[in-house]
Amino acid sequence: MNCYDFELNISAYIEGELKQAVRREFSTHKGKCSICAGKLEDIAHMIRKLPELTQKTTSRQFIHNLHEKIREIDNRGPSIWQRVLQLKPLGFDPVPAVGFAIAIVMIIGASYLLLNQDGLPDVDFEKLSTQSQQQARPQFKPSVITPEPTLPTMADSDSSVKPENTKHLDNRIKLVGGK
Amino acid sequence: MSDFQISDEILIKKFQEGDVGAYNQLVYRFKDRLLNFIYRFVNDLDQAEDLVQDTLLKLYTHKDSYQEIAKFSTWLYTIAANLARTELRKKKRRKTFSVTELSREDREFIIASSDVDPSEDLSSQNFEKSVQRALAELPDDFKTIIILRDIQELSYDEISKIVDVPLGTVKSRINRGRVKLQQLLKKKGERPY
Repeated sequence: MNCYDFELNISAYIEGELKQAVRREFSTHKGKCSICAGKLEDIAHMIRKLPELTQKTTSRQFIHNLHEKIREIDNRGPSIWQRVLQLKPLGFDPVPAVGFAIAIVMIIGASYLLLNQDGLPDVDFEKLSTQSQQQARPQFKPSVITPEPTLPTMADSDSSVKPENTKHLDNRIKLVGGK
Repeated sequence: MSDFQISDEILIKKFQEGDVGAYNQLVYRFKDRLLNFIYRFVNDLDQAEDLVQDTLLKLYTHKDSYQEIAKFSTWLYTIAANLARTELRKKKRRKTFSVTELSREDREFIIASSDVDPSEDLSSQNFEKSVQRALAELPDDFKTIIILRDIQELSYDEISKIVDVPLGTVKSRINRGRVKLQQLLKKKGERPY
């Protein structure tokens, strides 16, 4: 046993709770280490002395003061909440009655808000139906690919005069064509 | 049957049934024990007395909270320990040294904390004062258990219920608390034994 383990077992040793084997190790260490032996002696002595500390007693006014406070509590009566909870309007218990009232108020409030919502447009249903019919008929449009204005068109390539900056585009067309 | 033969549990039951005389009996039985416990905790006799009153008032107002699954004394000590710990926390938060924080004896002579007066002649102090000062420096967890075990001499089982920690933890805290207390006493140059 080392000093650390010795310290951990001091109380158990003093109170006779150590097992025989551990107790033997403890005693062996105590015989070898004077510091630990001194610590054990000090703690054992301290434990013996602690219950002998002066016993304090309450003052003479203690009971009188306590009774005064109790009288105050008794005279105070129930708090406002306790009184409210004791009320039974129309024979209902207050807590469920209040809950029920709050639920009713919330339902009425929500209904009022829903029924009086602003911003609903006046709808012309005839106009709406003709518009929807027109949208339903698809208009035929030939699929013509219109070249982007920045790129040169085929017409441009036929022209004899080619701008210098379109030369690289011609090269690209050749590459795409594989020729 | 004399009143001293009636157990605490029977008295509290009588009180729960409306017998105020039973309450008074309990007050007489526990007031000094509670005072000694709380005094060692807060290190101020007046404050300790106030806290004992608070504990006994709680007993009066919350009598129905007690159920006979635990010993009455355990229940009452739990209330007292909680009140004392709360008071100690408040005190630490305030971090001021007021006149009321000193014990009755000290108040007549000095208005200073023992921590801030190194010139105080330690050798002139008796064992009780040394222990009281050392206890004040112990962490709350150790302090509560040391007071309950070594000063109030309660069983490990009762302490375990009061502080609401397992028995093994109580035993290890007792050991560590005792070692720390002994070190503190030694550090202060106090060897009262």
